[in-house]
Amino acid sequence: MQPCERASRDADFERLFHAEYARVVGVAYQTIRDRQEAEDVAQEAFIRFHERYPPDASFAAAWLCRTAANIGLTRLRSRRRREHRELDHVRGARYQLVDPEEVLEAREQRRLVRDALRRIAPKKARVLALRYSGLTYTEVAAALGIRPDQVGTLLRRAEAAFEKELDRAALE
Amino acid sequence: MRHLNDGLLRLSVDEPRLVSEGQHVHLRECMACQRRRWEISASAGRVSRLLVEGVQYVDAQAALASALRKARPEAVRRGRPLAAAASAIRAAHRRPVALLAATLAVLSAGAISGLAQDLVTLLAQPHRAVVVPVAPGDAAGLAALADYGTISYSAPPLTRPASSAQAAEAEAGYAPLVPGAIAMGAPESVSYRVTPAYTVTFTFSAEKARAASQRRHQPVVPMPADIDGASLYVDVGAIVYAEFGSAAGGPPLLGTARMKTPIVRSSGVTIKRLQDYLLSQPGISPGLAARIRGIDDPAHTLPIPVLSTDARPEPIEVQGVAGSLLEHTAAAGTVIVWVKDGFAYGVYGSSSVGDLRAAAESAH
Repeated sequence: MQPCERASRDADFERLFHAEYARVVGVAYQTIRDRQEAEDVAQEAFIRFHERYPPDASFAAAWLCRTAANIGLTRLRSRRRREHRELDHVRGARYQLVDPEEVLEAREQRRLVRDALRRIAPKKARVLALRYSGLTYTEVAAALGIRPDQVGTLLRRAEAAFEKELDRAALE
Repeated sequence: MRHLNDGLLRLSVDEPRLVSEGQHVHLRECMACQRRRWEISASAGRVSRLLVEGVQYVDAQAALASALRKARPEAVRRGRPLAAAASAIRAAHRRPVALLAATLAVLSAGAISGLAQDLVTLLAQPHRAVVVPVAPGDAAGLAALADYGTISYSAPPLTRPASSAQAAEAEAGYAPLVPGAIAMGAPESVSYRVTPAYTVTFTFSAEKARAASQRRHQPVVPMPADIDGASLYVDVGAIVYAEFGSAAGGPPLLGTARMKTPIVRSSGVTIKRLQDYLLSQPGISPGLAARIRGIDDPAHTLPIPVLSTDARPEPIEVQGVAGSLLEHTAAAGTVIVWVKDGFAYGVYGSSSVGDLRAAAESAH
């Protein structure tokens, strides 16, 4: 690649990064619920994209969101590292959340949510991550490669499965 | 007509405009579908309360530097200055005692408390500064206001290290604030940073506000027609920091910040009207709204938001003008702010309150 082409591609990539980074972090966060790791996931998605596709690809935003959801869900399933980090987070936040019961409640709720997301089918977890990170039905459809009118059905099934698993996790 | 399936009913909860007129008619007339829609909506609300816990702010510039470093290390070494600046920003945010620096840096990056600053300040020519404690819950509510419109920057609000006081002055247009007396002894290290001046523009959008409230399944106060499309402009002056610490590193014992007082302008509607509208939104607690509304002489007061659950600002006098002191027990640090002659000043650090007051009083 010529230096001028490379510079142009870098500039396009930077524009893409600034335009989509917050949203991609939001998608990743919905899966792993850890701010620092969500940023790691988002950066990994951008790096993969950068290695494979031109930054002006029309599918860039949808691809990044889907990939972030996939990486996040994969990491969610290797829970040890995540929970270790969360413990550090809670320790670090002990002065902010002054009420110990509040700390425990927050931890417990995060654990229940994570367990439920881990147990439902990846396709359902993906649609929850995409929708609840703020994507519209059209954007969710683009990220999943389905029609917008199919999103409602998929989302409804995912929410039902999530609630069911949440109830089960609460009983354990 | 057949009953609407769960997918259509779910769609009607989030994006009713995508449901056909015939389906709307059926929904209005069919008790069974209405009941099922209510169940689905309630389920969506429960899931939303558990899952909607967004990341309030990301530093895209620092993240880009990090991603480039991972992807292509030589690009950063060859001349992208992003990594060093990103590191400085991250370090500032990590140091709990650098409260003012963090607040101003956050402001400069347009994040939570910065947005609060941008959106709720009633400024003309501020003569004094007041610290406004913002609890984490309130911070989330303020961050959510970003969804009520579009925010843009005239230039990337990036804080960069400066090699010397002279270099910092050359970039900012004015010199760093230097304490005349540093009671804790001669500092072993000093560093300088500068955030260049820029303008933040926030344009309100009724459609975005409505979409955001639907996403969160929250009620929203309808955006008045005169606010829809109105813009708020905040001219943020360059911020120049000086930090004094020990050779061993760690948080600064004492830091200073100096910036031209921000100027807030609006188009299409008065700033007071925008403030009243924003403070009436569901995410803003009555306590925070009361604190902001309770600021004396708001047209001439610069509120400086500080994330805190336990901070209690105290009015003090600094260099003959009214200032504000905040002891942040959680962060084990103190911030002193004041406004004088068109500039906002801050002194912060982990030194004793007495030492910091002496440093503020003698700073020039």
